[in-house]
This record gives sequence, structure tokens and C-alpha cells, in this order.
Amino acid sequence: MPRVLDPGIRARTWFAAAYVAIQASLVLTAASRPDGVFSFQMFNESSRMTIALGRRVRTAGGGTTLVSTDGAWEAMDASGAARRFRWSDRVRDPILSTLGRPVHASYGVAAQLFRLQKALDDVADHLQGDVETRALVADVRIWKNGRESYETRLESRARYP
Amino acid sequence: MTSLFRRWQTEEDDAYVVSLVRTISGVLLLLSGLRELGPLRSDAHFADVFHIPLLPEALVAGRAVFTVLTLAQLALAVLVVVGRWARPALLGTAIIGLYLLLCDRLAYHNNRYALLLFALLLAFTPCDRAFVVGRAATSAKARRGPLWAARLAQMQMGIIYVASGGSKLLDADWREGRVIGDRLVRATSMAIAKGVPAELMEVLAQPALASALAKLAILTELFLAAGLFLPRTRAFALWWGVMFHLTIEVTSQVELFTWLSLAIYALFAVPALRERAVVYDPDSRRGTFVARVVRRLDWLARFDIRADAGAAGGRAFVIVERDGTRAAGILGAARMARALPLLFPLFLPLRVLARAFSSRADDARTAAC
Repeated sequence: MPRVLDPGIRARTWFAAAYVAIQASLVLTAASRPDGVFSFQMFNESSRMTIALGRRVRTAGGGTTLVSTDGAWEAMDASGAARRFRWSDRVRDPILSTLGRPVHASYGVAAQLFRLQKALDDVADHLQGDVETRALVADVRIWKNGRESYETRLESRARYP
Repeated sequence: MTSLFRRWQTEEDDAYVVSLVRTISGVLLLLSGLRELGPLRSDAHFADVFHIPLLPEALVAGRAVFTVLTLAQLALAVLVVVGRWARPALLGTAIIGLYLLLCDRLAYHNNRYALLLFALLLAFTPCDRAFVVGRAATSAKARRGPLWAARLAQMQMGIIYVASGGSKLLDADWREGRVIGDRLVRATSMAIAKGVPAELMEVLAQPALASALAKLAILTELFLAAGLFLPRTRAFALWWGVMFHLTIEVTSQVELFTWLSLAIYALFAVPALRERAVVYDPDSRRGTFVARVVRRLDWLARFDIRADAGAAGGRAFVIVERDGTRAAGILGAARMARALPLLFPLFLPLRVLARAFSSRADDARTAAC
């Protein structure tokens, strides 16, 4: 049996002290992590949300406009050929990949908005061949713990800024 | 306090119960590992699509490494179940699991994290002294070992309750019952559609009831965090905790957390075995039935089972406690249920029933006087 698993009295005391200190600090710093990982905040919310996805594209006048999408869209590549893109090609998470209908915001609204922002940035960074989309936009309708719903907008990092 | 600390540092006792907890944890690790096989069948590996690593991206497991580690976890879980190289296997599976959690926080779930923490702590217990496949049962002396890490696992359970109950207590929506209320309201239409009377669901969805349930849930978690550690409240805390976790199991999806919690509850049992006795009358059909039930269900080896009509004193069976006190009838059944995991939910109802009968008998005796 590896000796590390049978520490002496002094070592087991230090191990226990370090273990409890780490666990306590992870619990006490839960608020600093939007998704509260490692902090055992069970059933923290009953919130729901609906994600509506859109693309910010350039207009003829030089500005941009928002085009809604059901998660799949066609865009031109640099050679002018049409290519097809899908949100779910990169986003496999069951909550974030559900568009247009309410889903339970597991681990809370803050957790899901944090993840969604990361997902928008990630997908925007991986749209090789899409020269039209300037940014991805998510309009999120939120029902926090049964309250009246409200909407918030998240936008990916700009492409071709 | 100092003597308590010294006792924690040096305590050695029978590792039978902690070995049983190891076996159950091994099964849970195996089930958890089998779930991880799902992503292996997926066309896209998690690291090749959107994920949120807590580690630097360069350290995130690619498909090949992930496959090897997942299969290694399964193999280690088998070792944990059978008890061979169980402690290094527990340590290995905990390290691999924690590493994979750090690779993608989208895959994080409190119950999976808890399972890995308990695996880590069990690795430091003498949990390989019993329930080892292919090895004959060892003597009580050979099973003895230091239980400091088992106490740390108990403390981890307390930390979970404090963290969960404390975060709810600090959240106004939770305190006021909004979170539970919303869950109930949303469950209402589903329940009515399944045939539950609408009137009943209306009562359950009342804001006042939701508020009361929320406070009860918070108090329960905070009580368990302390009650499990105090000898006077431990039995009630364990019973209340079992009810609490079983309620969560039937109303929510918590993967393996219910069974993990109940397995860890076994660590709160006194390590020493067979300190209680069931004495039964071998000529009584009820007595032999009780003895058979206890033999089958005494998973924590609490009872010494003796056939002795004389010692049973004309009763079908008598439960003899650690301190020598004896109980028969409903009170005996309550004390039996208290020590048998499968019958444990009956312990408190039987105890209340026994008390009610006893006070009624006292009333009758007083009236006769």
C-alpha cells in the first residue's frame, strides 16, 4: 500500500487542515464564480430562460443590422460561395443549444448567462468561412424564480472589427 | 475540545462499515464512469467544441487522453467495488475525475464533485479490510485501522449541508419561498395532467405553504450540518436526513447524490460491530421470522443474534441495547429498525407509536389506581 495513504499523525493533521481550508474557501468564494462551481449551492434557482439567436450583419449603407436565426444560417465565404453554419455544431450543451423555447436555467440565471456569453464568443471565433457575420447576438428572455419576465441581450466579440 | 481533537487524530476502530461504504461508493463510481461513456460515442469530443476549461487550454484532455482516462476510471471503479487495490484505485479515480471536471465546467455537477471528494477521502481510510472479493473474512482485530479520514468524510457531508443551507438562507428568493413556490406552480399543471386532484395542487401551490416549505428545507440542511455530529440528536438527524434525501430523489433529478448521501450516512454509525443483540424464542414463529429478517438486513452488523427462549423472557424477541436495556414489542421493533438500513425509515414512526402505546398504558394504570 502506498505510504502516502497512511500518513502519520502530523501529516494527517496537515492534510485535514488543508482540506477543510480549501473546501471552506471554495464555499465562501462562491459568489465570485457566476456558476458557483465547487460550492454546493443546490437548487439555487427555479429560473427559466429562452434564447433567441441573431447575427449582426453589414448593411449596404455601411452600418449593421440584426438578422434572427433559428440556429442555422447560410453565409458567403471569401470566394463568394454559400456555406451553411449551425449554432449546435459547436454548442452541444443541452441548455445553451436549445433555442426559441423556455428551458430551466440550471445553476441559475447568472451561470447560464456567463456560459452563453462564452458560447457566443466561442462560436464567433470559429465561423471560418463566414465573412458576413459581424457578431452573434442572443436575446434572452428570463423568468427569474417565477417573477415577470425580462429580456437581456448578450453579444459576442466583434468579428472583423 | 483538545481531547476530541486528539481522539480524531488517533482513533482506531473496526473498518467494517467504512469498507461497506467503499463498496457502495465503488458501485456509484462505476455508474458515474458508465455515464461518461456517452460522450465517447459522440461524434464531437468536448474539447473540440464549445467548452469552458478551468485549466489552461493546453492541459485539457484531447479525445485520446479522455478515452484512456474514462476507461481507466471504469477499471479503477471495478477495483474499488471488489476491494483489490481499492485505496489506490479510489485515489486514482478521484484525481482523474477532478482533472476532468477542471477540463470543462459545463460538465460540472455538485453531485459528481461530491462523489469524487468522498472517493478521495475514503482512499485514506482502511476501507480495504472487509468486503474484499476472493479474500476470507478477517478478524475484528485485523479490521482495525485509523478512522481520521472517515471523520473527515463526515465533516465533508456537514460542509455540503452548511454550503447548501447557508446559500439558501442568504438568498431572499429562497427564504421567502419564491424558488420552491415557482417549482410547485410549474409542477401543478403537470401533476393535474397526471390525475392529481386540482384542489390538492392548489393547496400545495399556496405562497404561504411554499414559504413554509422553503424555511423547512433551509432549517433541515442547517440542522443536519450540526445534528449529525451530536450524539443526542444523531438518530433523529439521520432519520430526518434520509426522509429529506428520499423526498429530493422522487421530486428532482440529482443523479447519484441521494444514494451517495445515504451511503455516507453509514459512516455516522458506531464502528464497533454486534454491540446490540436480538434474543428470540426459537419456538415462536414471530421470533424466528424476526431473526431471519435481522440476519438478512443487518448490513452494518449491529446485532448479535441469539436463540434463547429463557433470555427472551416469554417474548417472541427482545432487543438488547449496548447499555443492556431491553425492549420488546413495538419499542423493540423500533430499536431494531433504527439499526437496519432498509427498515430505518420506519424507526421514528414505530418509536412514536411505541411511546403512544406506552403513555396510554400508563394512563390506564393511573386510572386503575
